[in-house]
Amino acid sequence: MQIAFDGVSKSFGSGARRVVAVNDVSFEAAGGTVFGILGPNGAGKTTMIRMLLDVFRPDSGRIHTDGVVNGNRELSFRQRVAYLPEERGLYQKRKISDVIHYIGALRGMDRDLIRTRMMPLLERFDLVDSLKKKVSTLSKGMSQKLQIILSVIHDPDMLIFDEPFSGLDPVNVRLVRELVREHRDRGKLVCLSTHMMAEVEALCDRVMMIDHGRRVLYGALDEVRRANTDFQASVNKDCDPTGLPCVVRVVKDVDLNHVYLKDGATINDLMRELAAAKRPVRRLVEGMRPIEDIFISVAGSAADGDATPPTKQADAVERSL
Amino acid sequence: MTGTIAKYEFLFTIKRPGYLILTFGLPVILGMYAGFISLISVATAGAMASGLSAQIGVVDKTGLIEAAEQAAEEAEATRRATEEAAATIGADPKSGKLKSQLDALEAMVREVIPDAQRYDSLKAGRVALEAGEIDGLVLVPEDYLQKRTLDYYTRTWQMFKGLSAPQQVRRQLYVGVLERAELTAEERAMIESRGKGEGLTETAYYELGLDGKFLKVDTLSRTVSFVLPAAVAGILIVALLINAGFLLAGVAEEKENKVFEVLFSMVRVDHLLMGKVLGLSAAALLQLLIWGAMILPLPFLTFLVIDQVVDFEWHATSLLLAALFFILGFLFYGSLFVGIGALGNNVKESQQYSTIIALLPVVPMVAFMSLLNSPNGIVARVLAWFPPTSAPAMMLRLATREVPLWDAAVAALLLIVGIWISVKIAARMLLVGGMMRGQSPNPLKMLRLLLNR
Repeated sequence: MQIAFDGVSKSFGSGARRVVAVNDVSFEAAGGTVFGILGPNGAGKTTMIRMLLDVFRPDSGRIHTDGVVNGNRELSFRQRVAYLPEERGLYQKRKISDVIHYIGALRGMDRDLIRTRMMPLLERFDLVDSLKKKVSTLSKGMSQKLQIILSVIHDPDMLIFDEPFSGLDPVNVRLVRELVREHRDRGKLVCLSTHMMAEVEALCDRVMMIDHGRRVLYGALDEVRRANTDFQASVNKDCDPTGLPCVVRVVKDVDLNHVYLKDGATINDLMRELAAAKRPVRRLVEGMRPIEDIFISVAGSAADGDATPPTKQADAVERSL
Repeated sequence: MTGTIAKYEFLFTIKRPGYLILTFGLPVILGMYAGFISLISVATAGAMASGLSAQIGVVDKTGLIEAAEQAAEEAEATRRATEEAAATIGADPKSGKLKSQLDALEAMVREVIPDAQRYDSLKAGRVALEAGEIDGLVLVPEDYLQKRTLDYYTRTWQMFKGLSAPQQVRRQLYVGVLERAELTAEERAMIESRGKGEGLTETAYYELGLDGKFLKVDTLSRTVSFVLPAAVAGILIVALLINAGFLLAGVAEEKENKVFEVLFSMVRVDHLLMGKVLGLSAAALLQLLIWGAMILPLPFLTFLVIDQVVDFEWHATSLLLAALFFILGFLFYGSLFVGIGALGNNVKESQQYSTIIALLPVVPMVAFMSLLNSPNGIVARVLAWFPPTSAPAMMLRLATREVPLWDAAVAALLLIVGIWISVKIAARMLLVGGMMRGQSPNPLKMLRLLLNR
């Protein structure tokens, strides 16, 4: 599945009370990728997701699904999508099997297909024994797992997961991570909205960051990181490249030393000079800032100045695409 | 999609303990309640009837009323003279023995001079009745003192309306008898009896038939034929409110459980709303069928036993129309209840907000006497054609079996338009309310949110 936002805006209220939730946002995301939607709280991520799901309609701009304008308004689209919202809940007084059958039916599945799909998922998430229990008897983690099962039971073409890792223990975080990768590998589009930057780096192929309703970062994860990094290489902390001919400056970080190279110098030059100088190199990587740092600096600079214009870094990224 | 939601809502609802308890327990409670209400109604029927007096005419073949009126005029003259005399000597007419004398005279005058038109003959009275100048005509026949029976003629017999008319005439007759200088044996027997003529005189009721002839009314059969459909209408209204309450509770629970966001991603909000309402409508109809199966054998057995006395007729068209208005009413109130259910942050809060809507079907119940006595009057039509009160008003009106088909069709049509509007409003409320978290919906804020897409 392919989705595209084309200059989409959405505001709430009117006059002095008008709040622009999403401001002229455009992006594309295609099947076979994990697309990270990042942004601080209140940035407009959820509004964007709700517009994609046709819960809200945009004030302006267009939403395309598989090239069809407003294709997200069709029932067939809804039945191909999985949505796990941040604020999720379940029918507490109903039995787990009843809830699965109800949601499955709403997804357009018949009873036999629901049964066929349900059991492997329940086994995978270790919930088979709870099938006849009421939802209210489940622990928070088990409820999370049930919600994930419900969201993928219809084998969707697109998954929209909003903070899917919150409340999960490390074992289940790994389960969800595997589920996301598995769907990506099967050609599905996974939209992941999360504040857990480690997960973004581990899972996302492409990312978009919005702040105050505007897109401020967008592109392939590595390109975004590279474009927002001004040092060219990083080495292990006990390896100090200061004084080498190709090195201009070294900035010490928590567990790495970031290296600024002279104009025209490459990472190969650095590697050669480190070896020649017999410095203890155990780790030498291309200079890329962690996405968390980029997130903080972009969100911080947007919050410090005028919220609406994108940062210089973001501009740079966008120009590079 | 609406069908799928309706199916699951139906299945979830009929498995609820609350639904099962209500479905099988309520007939018993209702039976007790109906019995209690019937007792109160019987006890207060006279008082109610006096408030529903009709414009009547009187044909007196005995001269007793004329005598009573003369006596009243004399009493009035005496009262005035007494008042003047009291004023002359400076006595206080509002205290002591004088006051009680004046009060007695005034009461007699008030009792004897009713707002009734006098006619010389039954023929003249009938012309006035058919012309609509009067609502009822009381005939005091020549043999009244022997048979002690009055004849009361109306265009169409109504259960309560005009009951006070024969009663008023009876009092006049009592006074008239007292005024006779020489009493006959029959007059003496009447005076020696207790009361002011009440319980002594029977009334035979007649109504104008289609062929223009007056037909005697079997009041017992007609009362049963009237009360039973009215009771059915009452049960329908109760069922409507109870099941709409289920709907509200279900939606409020869904909001409390935070499932709306996922539901809205799967189905359109108007489909979700209609699915819920239709599912609950089906559950409500099933409940009614069960109630019917539980309750109906009792009156049927009763009628079998007293078949010789009571001639009860079911009116299929009225019943079918009542069922139609039940369903339409459920769609109307149900959709609004769904919308309101989503506004509160929990079941309790939503129930508080729903009071406004829950009061609407009660309005026709408050005005039920007016609806039953004048089923085609202005009040009845306004309530029946105004969608928020239409369903219960029509169910009550239909109990009288006097509502023209075109009238019911107009009411149904307007109600369908009302349903369309209520579904649109409720869908918006469901969307806005379903997405709201931890906020109390003050009216202005709600209006702003509802208008904003």
